[in-house]
Amino acid sequence: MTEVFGRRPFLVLALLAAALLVVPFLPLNDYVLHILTVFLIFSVFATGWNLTLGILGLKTLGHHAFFAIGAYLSAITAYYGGVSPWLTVWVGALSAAAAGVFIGFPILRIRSMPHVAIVTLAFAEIVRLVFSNLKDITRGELGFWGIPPFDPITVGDMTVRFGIGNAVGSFALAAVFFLAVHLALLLLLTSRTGLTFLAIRDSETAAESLGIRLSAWKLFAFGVSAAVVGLSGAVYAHYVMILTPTSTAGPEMLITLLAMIIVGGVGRFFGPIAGALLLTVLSEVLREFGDFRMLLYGLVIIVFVFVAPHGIAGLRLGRLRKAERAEPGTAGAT
Amino acid sequence: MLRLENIDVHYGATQVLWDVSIEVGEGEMVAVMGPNGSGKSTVLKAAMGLKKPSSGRVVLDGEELQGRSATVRPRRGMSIVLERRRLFPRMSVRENIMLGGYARPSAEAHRSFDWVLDLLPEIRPHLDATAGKLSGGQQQMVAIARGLMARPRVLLMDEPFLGLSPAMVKNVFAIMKMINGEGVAILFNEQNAKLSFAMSHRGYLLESGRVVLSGSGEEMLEHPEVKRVYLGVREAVS
Repeated sequence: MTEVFGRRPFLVLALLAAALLVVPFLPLNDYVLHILTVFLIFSVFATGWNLTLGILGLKTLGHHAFFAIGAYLSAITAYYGGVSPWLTVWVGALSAAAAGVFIGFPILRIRSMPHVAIVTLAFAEIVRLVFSNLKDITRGELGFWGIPPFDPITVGDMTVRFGIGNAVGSFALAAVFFLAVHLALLLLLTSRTGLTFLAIRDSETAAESLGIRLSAWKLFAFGVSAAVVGLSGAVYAHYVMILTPTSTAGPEMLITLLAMIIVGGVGRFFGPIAGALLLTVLSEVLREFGDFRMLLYGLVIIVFVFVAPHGIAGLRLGRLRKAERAEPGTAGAT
Repeated sequence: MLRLENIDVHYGATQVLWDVSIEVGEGEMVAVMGPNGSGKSTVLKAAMGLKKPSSGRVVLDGEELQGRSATVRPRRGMSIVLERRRLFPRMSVRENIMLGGYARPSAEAHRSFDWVLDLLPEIRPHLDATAGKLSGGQQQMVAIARGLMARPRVLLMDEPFLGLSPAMVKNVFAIMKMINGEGVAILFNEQNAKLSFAMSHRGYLLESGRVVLSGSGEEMLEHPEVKRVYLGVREAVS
């Protein structure tokens, strides 16, 4: 599993945690903290999607639908029900998981990966249209504003506030969320569950012959992946406090997140984090170019597919492989 | 212990097996021999549940398995070494072998792991190597080890000698004998008639999806048709 996780994945996560701990003490303005907060939320989104796309090997293209479902369901429950976002984010995650299992059933019957891609893409478009047309509830493309932020936390004399105007609190919350989700997934995937996913990805026939129940495991993976993405959507909703169907389930979200995964490294655990960092920063730098940014994203994807098909994480792995080849005794004669 | 009775198999509209019946007794080594495209691999896939027969029965120790998925077989004492090994190339050798014990409780899987390494000690130095980087012969050892992790009573082996050097064929042949000596019945397929029947208690000759001949290994080797077509021996003209 070195290829997926590297040699010391928990150490890498600990280093990331240390880096995130230092950030609030750096002289960074609110704008930079906002970019880092968005990066952390999108990293979780990309990692969740990578679970099915890269680690299980199912070419799904509709995970932005789960992001939208998590975001809207959490926001609607909090806004209309007056429930604390600390609770409604779980409503968002569970709704996305249920949607993942729902769409997972027909996908299990499809062997052709292009068809899996089309079905999931169509599902995302349906979700976008549903939220767009439920105008009485979501206000459609006008935007669902007034979403409450996470309730403040008081520690001693200090009150930590969240939401778009509270950069440090929001960054801290996103960092905890990022680390908790990645730690949970790392624990899950470095166990027998991770081996099972990788076995299914590498050879379904071999996996099945060993007693692995393909359908059950794929549904489980789909559910977990959708829940993680839905949770990231819910956290995003209570951070930015306004949603539109197109900004959450539209093609721009699909291309941006797909680019993050491809650039970072499909099927590499830490790849999407690197991709999310690079492209979130790039997105802000190129903001003045508006929709033309998508052209650059497309170009970046093409360049990476040809020059570094395993993404940023694969570049490092390439060096590991060279080092391994230099070590004698890994392979013998036939 | 394992019986395939009157099996028909279709791939879409194309029928590839017709009324195939094969039996593997307790501790037997049974060969299915035939030319390319005769349906040998499909026989093993049907037995393992990886290909659903359109009719016929698959019976293991009296239990009918034909309608049940492949995932049931390892829990019932059946295991398969697939054609071209089908290892998980990006995992380590250790991970590949451990996955072979997937259907067993963790403690039993760890005991099986020790047993397998005692049987195939040549794997031990490569446990942390990436499986896809091993040579073909080493990969076959790992595939056999993975197949044995389920502690099967019947081991199916799909073309176990395919792509191996003559020296490695000898090695794998010896390992199969040793496994069989441990009381594990083996059903394997192979294109080489001499190799197949010389090492098996019983053999079946498959042609165009039909069993055209069966008998003990010796009988098969002595059969004039096998000699003429598959061993290239010409009958003396009287």
